[in-house]
Amino acid sequence: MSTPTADRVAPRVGRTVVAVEATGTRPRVLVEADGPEGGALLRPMLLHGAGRTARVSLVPEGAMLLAGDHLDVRVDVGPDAALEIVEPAGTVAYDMRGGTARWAVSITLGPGARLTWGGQPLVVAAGADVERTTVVTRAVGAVLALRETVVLGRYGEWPGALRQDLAITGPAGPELVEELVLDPLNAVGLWGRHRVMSSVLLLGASADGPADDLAGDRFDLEAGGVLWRALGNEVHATLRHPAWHAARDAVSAAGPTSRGGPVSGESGTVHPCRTLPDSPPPAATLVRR
Amino acid sequence: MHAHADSLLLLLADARLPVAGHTQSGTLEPALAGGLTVDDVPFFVATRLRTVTRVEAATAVVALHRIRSGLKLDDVERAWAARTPSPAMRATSRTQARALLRLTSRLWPAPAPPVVELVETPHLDRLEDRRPTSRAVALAHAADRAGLSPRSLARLVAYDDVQTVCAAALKLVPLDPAVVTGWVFDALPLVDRLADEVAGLQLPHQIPASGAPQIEAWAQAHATATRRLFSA
Repeated sequence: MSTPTADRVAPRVGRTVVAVEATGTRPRVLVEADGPEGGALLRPMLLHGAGRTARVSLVPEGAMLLAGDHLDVRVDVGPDAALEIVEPAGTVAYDMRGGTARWAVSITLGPGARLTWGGQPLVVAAGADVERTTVVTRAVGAVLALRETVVLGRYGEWPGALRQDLAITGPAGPELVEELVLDPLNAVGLWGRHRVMSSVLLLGASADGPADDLAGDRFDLEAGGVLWRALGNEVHATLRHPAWHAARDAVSAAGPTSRGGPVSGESGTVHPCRTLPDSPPPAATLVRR
Repeated sequence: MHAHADSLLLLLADARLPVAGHTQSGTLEPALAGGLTVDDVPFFVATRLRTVTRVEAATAVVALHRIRSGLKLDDVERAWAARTPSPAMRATSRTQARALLRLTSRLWPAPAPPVVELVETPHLDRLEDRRPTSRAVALAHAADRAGLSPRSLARLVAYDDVQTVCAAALKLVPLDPAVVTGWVFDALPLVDRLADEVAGLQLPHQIPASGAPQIEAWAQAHATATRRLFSA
């Protein structure tokens, strides 16, 4: 008798930490990645830094997401520091045959911190079962631009199951709290006849644009800030690039007026990746401006 | 002489209550315009009960607890607003709240409930920018005066939502009223289940945040629609 519990393995936890501090004129960047051999991991690579801004790419390692994968990402942006996170590729959550995967993101933004995170699509294939949590704590004056795209099922495929929890707390309390429980049965109720949801969230700053053609996608939040959210059936047609650009511009505009010198990988400014061998230290990927 | 809470529940659930319930479709009008078919309506009702209506019922229950405990309601309003991303849905809720609070002060004159519960929003200092209370909190005030239990209040919110959608369906699509009453009848166990789920909640952070992106998108689209029968 075959057992459907074949993929119910002990969770393999891949931990990622990106922390940025604005120390004087240079950002101090700490990147860490730590996970079991062959397990899913998002490796942070420092791309560049200038003034108070650091730019980090989250590079996926290992096949992901599979049953038992547990991504744990912590992002900490200190007072008046700025971080931009990019993702080089989207993620597919594959058939987990009864197993589950988890993707937990925790973001802490200090006073006056700025974070731009342009997420790539997460495709939840048939049979996948993913729990995704995003917890943001935003101090006074902190600005966040966050892009997320979720696709239920590869083309022509049944949707997988996704539980997506978002909780954003600002200086005065909760700003946006949302739990979406999507599975083949109730996805049509929550998303209508769509398989793609793309959102751009801007908090701590306001945006007048982009133009009217996105007015129907625009949700002005009670606590300030804007959520642009679109449902569709094709990723390229659902992505709202103008909204993302407007959110990024709003974060840039919210930045401090005094700009410092270029970031340096020297003298302890950048801490090398720990625990995993064969990884180039982020200083190697540093581009001097 | 006081009326029994059961009688008052019937009164508050009555569509003839002068709170402009006939202007509401529970987002059904934009849903039908957006591709929902008549056959989908019972499913639509069930989806609302599991999502947006669950948030509203839970908010009302937590507000009732705080009113009876003499606690402030700002945190409840904020929790509700954070779980209601659609500005159109928040505006609809507050419009309905005004009528409900007016009626409540009329039925239970002393001591008067606040006609407008001013909620300070963090980014807004001016008085005119402060927001009036939500419908869930207004219903909690009425429930407090009527002596309703938290479970009855949750049932009231859920039942009213089902009836709102189904009554609107009759105006939007040619249907046999008995069929539509059958939809309401079939949804009653879901109403009961929702009431059971949220009746014990007391803290704002316990309020479920079950969103419904498609319903929220329809609500936004309807707010700017020019040809419409219902205001929401």
